[in-house]
Amino acid sequence: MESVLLPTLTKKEEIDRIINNTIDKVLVLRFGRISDENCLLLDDILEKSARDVSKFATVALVDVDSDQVQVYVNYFDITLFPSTVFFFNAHHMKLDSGTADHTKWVGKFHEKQDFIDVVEVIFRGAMKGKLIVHCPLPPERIPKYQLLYKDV
Amino acid sequence: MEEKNTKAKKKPSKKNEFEFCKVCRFHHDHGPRHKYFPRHKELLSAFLNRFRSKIADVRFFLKNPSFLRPQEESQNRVWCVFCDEDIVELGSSFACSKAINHFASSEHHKNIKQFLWKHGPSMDCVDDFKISDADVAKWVRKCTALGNKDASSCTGQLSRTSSDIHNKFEFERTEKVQTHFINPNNLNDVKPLLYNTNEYQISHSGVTHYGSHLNVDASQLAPGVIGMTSNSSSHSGDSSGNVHSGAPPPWLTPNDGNIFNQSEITRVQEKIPVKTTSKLNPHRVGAAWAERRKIEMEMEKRGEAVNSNTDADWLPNFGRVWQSGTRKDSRKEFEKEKRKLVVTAESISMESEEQKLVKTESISVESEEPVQIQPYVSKRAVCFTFITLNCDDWFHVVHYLF
Repeated sequence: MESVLLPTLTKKEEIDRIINNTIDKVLVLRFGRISDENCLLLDDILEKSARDVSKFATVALVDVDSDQVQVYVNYFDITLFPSTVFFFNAHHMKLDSGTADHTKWVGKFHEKQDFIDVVEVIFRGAMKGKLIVHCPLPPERIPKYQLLYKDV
Repeated sequence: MEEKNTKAKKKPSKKNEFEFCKVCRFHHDHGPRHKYFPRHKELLSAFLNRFRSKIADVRFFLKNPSFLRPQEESQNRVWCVFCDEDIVELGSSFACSKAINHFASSEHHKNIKQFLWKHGPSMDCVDDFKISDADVAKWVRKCTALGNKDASSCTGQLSRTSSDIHNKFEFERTEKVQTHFINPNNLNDVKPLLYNTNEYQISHSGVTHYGSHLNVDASQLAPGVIGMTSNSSSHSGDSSGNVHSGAPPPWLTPNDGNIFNQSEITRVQEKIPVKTTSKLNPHRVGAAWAERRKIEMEMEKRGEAVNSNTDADWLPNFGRVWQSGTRKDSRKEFEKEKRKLVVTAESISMESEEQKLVKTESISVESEEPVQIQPYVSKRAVCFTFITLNCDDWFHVVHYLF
């Protein structure tokens, strides 16, 4: 089921196009599956907050089950779902949330405002020329996970 | 007696409520004795002097009434500090007419007295801030005379100028033009708004500004002014209308002589590339890329061919998880891995077709053979066992030891 507000991308060309066409705005790419419960919860928060952040962010969903998207799944080292990757002017923005992986946000957000705060911090950092920003959320609201190297 | 005196002395000073002093512009609880404080007295004298200068300007127009142009009504306003109201000359035909009437009103007098009683130590200067009825009556008479004179002044001027050969064009034009009557009164005053170019400068200098007591001598100005205006009026004499009649300016009328037409103007404007002056931080992430991309998008909109950098193999700038080094290095490494995967995939496909055993590289997990776990044996142990087996062959021992 496609979201009414958020575009769902299934091809590499679509992802390339949205990255290249999003200028001076944060691009939020959610990698996940519709069948996943956490993914659905995250999608709900993204849909609700998309309008609020529309002036400085664009949100899009990527279906990881598509074959053409696997190159990005490998490139971004996405092993856990849902994962959210942030871009600004075709440059990847890292987020230091105290977890092992700074390159993406793994899991769902506790509430709408958390997502808005994270996107705002990323936008502010990007406008100042920072490629990595600190997560403004308290540790209890950040999902914990274990990062494994090639399942070892 | 002594007890009474002590009681009188011991009267507790009443705590006054806080009130705002308009002169000192602060709140105090001094009560009525505040007006005797030296600081208040100083500020009051400065305060009253400022208002005196405003009243002096109004008195100038009381003695010399002049017409007020509609466009200068907004500039001709006074704030009365005693009544706390703004006097705007809306709809008045003479300069400062409403201000003069206000300063002559009884309510204003009452407010002056109230103000001075509250703030000032003395009531001597009441007359400085009000206008007497006699002065107002004189002013009214002057205004009516001014109005009557104005009707005749135009024709008088025309007759004066008819004999002047320099003013021939001006004479012909003034007959046709609907004149806007502004201050033709005295010889000492400025010229009326019948002349083209310098009229605003002349009238503006003497009439509208407060405090500008410039009495422009018409006799001094006239030759120069007339000379200039005759030159300027020659162009407008040919046209069907002018600014006063509301005709469009010559550069907008669709004549043959016009260089620019509206359509041409729009075409020219379209051709001029619109420079997007971005106020965004030039040091923001991907600023150079963003500027390039904006230019590319504008070119695409215009329909021009753009060299698109987005190939099938294009990848964005990304810092990977398990790689160290720059983002370029991580992208190169990913591309190398991808190539190797492709190579191994091809080799696997070849194997399946030809059914041959090929040695594969151990990078990819799928093609790796299961590693046989063996116990660790040190080099010395290996050497020792070899020495025991071949004790006669020293060459071999030396070779294996080193």
